[in-house]
Amino acid sequence: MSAVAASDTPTRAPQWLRVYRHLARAYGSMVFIWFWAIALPVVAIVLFIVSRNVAVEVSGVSFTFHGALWFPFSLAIIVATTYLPIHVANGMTRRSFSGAALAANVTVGVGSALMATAALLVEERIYDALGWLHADTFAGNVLGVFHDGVLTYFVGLAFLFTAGQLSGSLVGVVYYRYGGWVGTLLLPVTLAPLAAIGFLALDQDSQWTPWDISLSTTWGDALAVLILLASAVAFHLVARNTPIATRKA
Amino acid sequence: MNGYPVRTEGLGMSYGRTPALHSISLDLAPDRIHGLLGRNAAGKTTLLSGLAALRPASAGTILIGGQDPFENERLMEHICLIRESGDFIPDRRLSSNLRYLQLARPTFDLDYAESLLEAFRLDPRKRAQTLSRGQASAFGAIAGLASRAPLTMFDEVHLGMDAPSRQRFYDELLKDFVEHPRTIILSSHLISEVEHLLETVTILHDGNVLLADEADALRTRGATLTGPSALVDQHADGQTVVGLRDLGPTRQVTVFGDLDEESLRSAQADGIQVGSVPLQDLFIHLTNDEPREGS
Repeated sequence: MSAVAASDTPTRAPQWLRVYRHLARAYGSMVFIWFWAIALPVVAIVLFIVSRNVAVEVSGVSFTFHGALWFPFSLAIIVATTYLPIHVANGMTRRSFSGAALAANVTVGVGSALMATAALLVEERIYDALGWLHADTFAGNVLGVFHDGVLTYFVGLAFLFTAGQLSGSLVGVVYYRYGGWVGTLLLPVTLAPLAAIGFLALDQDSQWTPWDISLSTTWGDALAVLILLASAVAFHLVARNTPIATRKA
Repeated sequence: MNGYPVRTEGLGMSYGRTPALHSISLDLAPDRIHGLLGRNAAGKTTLLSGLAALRPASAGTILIGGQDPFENERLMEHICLIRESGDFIPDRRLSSNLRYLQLARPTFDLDYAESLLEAFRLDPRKRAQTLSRGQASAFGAIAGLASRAPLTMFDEVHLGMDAPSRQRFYDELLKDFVEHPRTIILSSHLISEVEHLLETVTILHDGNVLLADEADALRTRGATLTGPSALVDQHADGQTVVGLRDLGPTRQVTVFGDLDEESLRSAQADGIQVGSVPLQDLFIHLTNDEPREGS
């Protein structure tokens, strides 16, 4: 009997799934407690103060969009640079890390899009009740929030947030593996998921005004999704042989 | 058998273009405590990193339990390397870190780990990043002991601990090893403190294996002669002296090599105390690159 066989243990969930749950809980507490639970009350307070002086004609919740994109993006960088070595040093494979991190990226992207969409829907009801205009005046046009439909808005935002997560993971793992110079030089590549969704899939004039998100041309959508998938594969390939740095106290 | 046998053949590892290990061949039997000794930058941490699949080998093979550990999910979960600085989630409490270790390792014993927290007087509510160096070392020791991994390796983990904590670690290590036999590799600079634990000794030097042998066999290849200086010098004459200590008129020399049994018996007959060779003296002798004065 080999030593490996001698230490059989009861069947547990696959490693990537155990780690995914762990990462999802960690992201959940950071993104939903430390971002949304702070951002939404702040928006409500600001709108209350603004409405005392001027007529409200702009969605307040929509301003959370940048934070909802870049805060988890920075978390994804931290996970790749800080958590990967801890993960492997505690006896888990790089493969399970990349699988768990990619699944967590999608969860955070879709979860944040759901949260943003739900918050905007609630806000819309409140605006209607108060007689405010739930819109945007971007580029001189007055556009109602969800003017292309709630589902289109949600899907577009989910792609954008997921692309942000994926870019964060790629930026982090490339910096960890190849160091500062290569990491910086490769930023145009590692940020490709965000660029792809921003420039190819979403309307050119609506990239930074997500409340009128509408998916762009079909070829652009398809190419953007392909770039997202290629980036996920690239993340896995970079992570899978990454040497874990020697640390001294 | 609970532990894994460890075997390397022609193992080479490098950092970029800088080689750290040169064709290392090792054979470590399962269920024993192996000592890995070497001076700074000898390659100990690199070797352990290779065994734990933290770094890929650049040449040769590593077989743990007969399999290559690199990216081997089932095998890696059963290989535990505790590094000097620890590999814990810094902003999490110790209790939360223990649950993480349980998630990572199927053999991790959470109850034992919690009892060790108490024994090492660590507050489970403390966050890992707030631990002092000694506390972090103790937490690393706890993680390694409670991992119950068939291959458990400690890389200088006890260096930051104070003397009572180190003693507790050695005691716990022996106690748990008896109750849960497994393959343990202990890398340390505190040779005199750990030598009684070691069953085999491997000494690395400049990325090569300088010596690999049973600890008892090594001890029989040398002796200490303790007594009046003049008498000790007389009996050590012609032997390879690897250590020398003076305490007033009393001198202790450590001799190593093919000992002349007759002269040892003669020394004893002259009232000189003959003892076993301290590994530390042997280690210093073997790894000292500086030119030595003639013995």
